[in-house]
Amino acid sequence: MFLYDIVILGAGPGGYVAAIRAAQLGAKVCIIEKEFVGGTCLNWGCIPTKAMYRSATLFAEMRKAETFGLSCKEPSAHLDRIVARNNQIVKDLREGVEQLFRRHRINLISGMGSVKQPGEVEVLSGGRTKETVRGRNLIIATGSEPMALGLLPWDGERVFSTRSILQLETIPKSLFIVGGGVSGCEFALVFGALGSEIYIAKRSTDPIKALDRDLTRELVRAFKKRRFRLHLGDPPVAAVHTGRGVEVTLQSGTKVETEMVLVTVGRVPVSSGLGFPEIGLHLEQGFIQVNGHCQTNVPTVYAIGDVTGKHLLAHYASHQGLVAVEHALGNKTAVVAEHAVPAAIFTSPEIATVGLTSQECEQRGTAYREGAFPFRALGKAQAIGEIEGFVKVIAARENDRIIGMHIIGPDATTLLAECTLAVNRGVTLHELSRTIHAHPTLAEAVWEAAEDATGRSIHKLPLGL
Amino acid sequence: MAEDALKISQDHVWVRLDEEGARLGISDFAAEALGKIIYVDLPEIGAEVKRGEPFAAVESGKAQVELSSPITGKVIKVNERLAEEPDLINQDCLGKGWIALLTTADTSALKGLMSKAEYDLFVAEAAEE
Repeated sequence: MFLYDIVILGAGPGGYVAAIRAAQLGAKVCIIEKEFVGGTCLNWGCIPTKAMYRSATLFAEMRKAETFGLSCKEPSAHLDRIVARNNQIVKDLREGVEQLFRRHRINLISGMGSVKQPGEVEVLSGGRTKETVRGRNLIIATGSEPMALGLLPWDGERVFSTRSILQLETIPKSLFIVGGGVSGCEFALVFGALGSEIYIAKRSTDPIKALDRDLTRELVRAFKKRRFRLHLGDPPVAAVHTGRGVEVTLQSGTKVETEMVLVTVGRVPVSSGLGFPEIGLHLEQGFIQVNGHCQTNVPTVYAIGDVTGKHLLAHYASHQGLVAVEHALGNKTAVVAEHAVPAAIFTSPEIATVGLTSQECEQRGTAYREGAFPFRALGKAQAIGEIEGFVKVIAARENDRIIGMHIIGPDATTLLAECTLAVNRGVTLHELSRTIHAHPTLAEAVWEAAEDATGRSIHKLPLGL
Repeated sequence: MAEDALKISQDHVWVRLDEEGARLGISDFAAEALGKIIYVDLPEIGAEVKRGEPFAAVESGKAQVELSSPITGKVIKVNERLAEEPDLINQDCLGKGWIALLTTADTSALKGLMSKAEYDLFVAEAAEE
């Protein structure tokens, strides 16, 4: 029986990246996937939602054309064509990943894998055993799926999940989003920009958990500006299907009727019935527990991505994948960079965050100083007509090393990379201020925020107010 | 209008008691410093406001400013016109450009505020520093 060096369960952004790195390091790799390569990210998450985001924000820009001296009479959006474009992009990228597997001689097996022993996976297809795969190391990357809400089960007609809503053919006149979080807020933006009336209701008063408080304030304001009706801290308690849509009753007694509902209240790990507890893995609420090398309590079994529940982010899964593979293949110092995990949120304005928030510094008793710079004080932002938001920098008071950066504003998600590098490497405020930032670019706001932390921002306008 | 009934805080927010309650807005100095107002973040009706804490925000091309309430009270009305015409504040900040109406029992707070004349002097002196 052939023995692979690494067997990977799941070909999402965690699994497929791990597979390619393992092959690059000379390992014999087998990867097992029950549905489509690319996982949630490529097929029903990051990629299709960002393709849709592009259509939605471009549509919003077209409606502002007059401001820029342009004429664009009566622009219209066609959801069926937007979705067709999304689907084509997803198909092309999927084929791209499969090509990468062939190029790296990674054996891709289609089927549902379940673990029999730490080094043995049984692959089922059509209910029957297709084959048994053996490997020296196993990496579990089975991911997560949307959490259902008993009150409002998905029916694909009026009530949707983040997966089924991506195949809608017509723009709803009104959309009630149950649950905020990143998904809820991003879909609010997309459908709001396409013309739907948006309602958001959730249990907590923060639209997105654990965001720096200054970003939360600015995001709520941005939503109000875009006329989203927010019911934060007021979750739904009842729902009734009417002829025209769904009427949701909130905890406060408020009733809202909308044409469609999106339920996005969280995600659950894909870890039942796959043999994990049977081989001795430690799970908590279905999430596989791992150490800083992504190892489970069984030394030759690793777990990465959403199934570990640490950060439900594709790039975190990929990073864990690289660490797990390197560790399994002999680099015992490979460890996850927990202190510098970035998050990019595609609201409008965009949000980007890495490292500690002000609240976290206070909770930990970490003495810090902060600086902030509003985009409207930057020439480039005025020139492109995108002046909302700001960059915020948090540095440890003892040594001025940057420990947190938070942005809300134009291109925040691209500016994030410099910020992640700074937090990852503990760059000091002085080092950042001595790094030349090209003009005229939005990145100058990052430089100015660092200068502001020492009271020396060049362009921040003191109004004397 | 009775400008002598107007009281202004050091945070450039004015209060005037009228038959409906305590009306709040921003001063002419603030409106001019900000330039054309492009958005006003109005408080929710029913919101409880504390003296010294933010109750609204105004935005111009130059800056975004949180407005600090000079009194403690409850918002009973907001100037809905500002949603479509935020620059009403630039046109008539002490009158038609009012921002929020509160009910309040905190009339003692008014004693600590400046008259228009005192405020104008305060602003002039601050500019010289």
